[in-house]
Amino acid sequence: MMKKTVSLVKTQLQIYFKGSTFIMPLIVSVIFLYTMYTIKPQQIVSSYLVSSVFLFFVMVWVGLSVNSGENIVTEQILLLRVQSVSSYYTSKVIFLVCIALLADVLYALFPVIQNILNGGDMFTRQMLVSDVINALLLQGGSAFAGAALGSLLHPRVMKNRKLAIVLTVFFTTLTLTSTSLTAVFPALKAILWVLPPVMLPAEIYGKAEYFSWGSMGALFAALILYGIIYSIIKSIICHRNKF
Amino acid sequence: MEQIRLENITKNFNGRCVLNQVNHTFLQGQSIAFMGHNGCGKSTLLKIIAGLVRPTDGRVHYSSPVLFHYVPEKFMPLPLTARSYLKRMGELDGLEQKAIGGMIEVLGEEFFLSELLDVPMKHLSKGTLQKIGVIQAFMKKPDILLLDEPLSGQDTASQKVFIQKVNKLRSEGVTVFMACHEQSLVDAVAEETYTIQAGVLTAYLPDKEKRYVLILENGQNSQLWEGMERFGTGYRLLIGEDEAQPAILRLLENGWKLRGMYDEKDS
Repeated sequence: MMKKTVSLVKTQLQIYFKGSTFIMPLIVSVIFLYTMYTIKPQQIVSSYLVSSVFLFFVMVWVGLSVNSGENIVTEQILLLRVQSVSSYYTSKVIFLVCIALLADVLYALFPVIQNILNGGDMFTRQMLVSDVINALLLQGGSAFAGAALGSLLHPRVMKNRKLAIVLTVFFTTLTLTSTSLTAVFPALKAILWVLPPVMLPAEIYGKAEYFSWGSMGALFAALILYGIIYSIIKSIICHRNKF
Repeated sequence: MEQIRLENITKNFNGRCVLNQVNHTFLQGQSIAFMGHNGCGKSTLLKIIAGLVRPTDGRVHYSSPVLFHYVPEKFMPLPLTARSYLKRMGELDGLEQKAIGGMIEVLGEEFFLSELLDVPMKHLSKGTLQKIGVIQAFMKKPDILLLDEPLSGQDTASQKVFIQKVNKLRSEGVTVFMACHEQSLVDAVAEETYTIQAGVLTAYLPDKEKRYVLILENGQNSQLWEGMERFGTGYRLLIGEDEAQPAILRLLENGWKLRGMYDEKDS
């Protein structure tokens, strides 16, 4: 089963990177990162907080575009071939994790490279290895949660693609504005907990100078958990609806 | 040996009943064709058998886990070359890298695709894409082969290779399910033919007597028969199945040369 899952992930990665759907999110990411890290000096923690929110948004877009790039016939051929529903849907989650990981590395290492190119005066203080590791955790969690949310309304979950896109944009907006919304309408907390806590790191760290391992571990676990739950919900509905 | 049993399969689409309480048992090694008008439910039944479409009601029972390989009606291009795609399919089939490479070369050659294996699929014609859809299904021997209008867009030479391959798999005990319109393919591959009428699966009976087209050459200025029409440099004669044999004998005796004989539906 493991071998089939790995083969499926490789197949999906090859199809994705040989296509053109990844180009626009990549260009937008590079423009964002370049623009952000031309202004100096920056605070390490707050700059990573901002980029993790932007990465979440980009990965929602990636998740949506992965969905629209799929075709039913290819899915049917693969699903019949592997003879394992769990293997097939697990491979889809791993595929999203791989994309999230690549984006995570780009977003976490870009400022490191900029800092080196700027002679080490990109930030208000010296950058530590622990900053980069914390950034990888924070952005990795945001990226996976974003990709999972973006791909939640798969064509087999919601056939009406216009509605699926509108709802995904709506959920993303709610996620990014949840902190302000719950500050004004506390009752909304009863509903908004279904959205990933992408804005929570900003609340926790505020203007902190350093990340803390404990809270970062919890944030990472929470974001990954949300991503996994969205992926499981999508897989169950896809399996139930079939084609 | 029983392989698949359909139990009260019902399928509704937008309030229309396409399949109505279908019960049927299929045996291992059978070759079944579903014929009928567009939208009668052939492809739906094929996909229900494979577990790709969920019936509104009823169940499909499998005697053991089965490996389905599927030739779709329309194979969609991917941003890969045919070789890369087939390589991936071979890996998913659990084949060794060396065997995959050899298989791609052999099947590519048999289906006249050798020169197109390294061209991105988006640049290939509909017929060539359909051949890739066919080749991926032949990479490994499945338990059941599902064919949904498999000949669409394929050239005549590839169609012949395709029929040979399917019959070879049949001789090795592979069960074949096919939804198609071409009588010639059904004649060449299927042993049982069904149609779906008002949601009910019934044995398919051609609606009229089978007729053949004879292509003849007038070798000795023989007298023309009634119904003969000019056809290229020769003549064409349409004749019923029962009369065909004695008529051919008489034509040959009268000096006519038989240059071809086709089913009326294929000519």
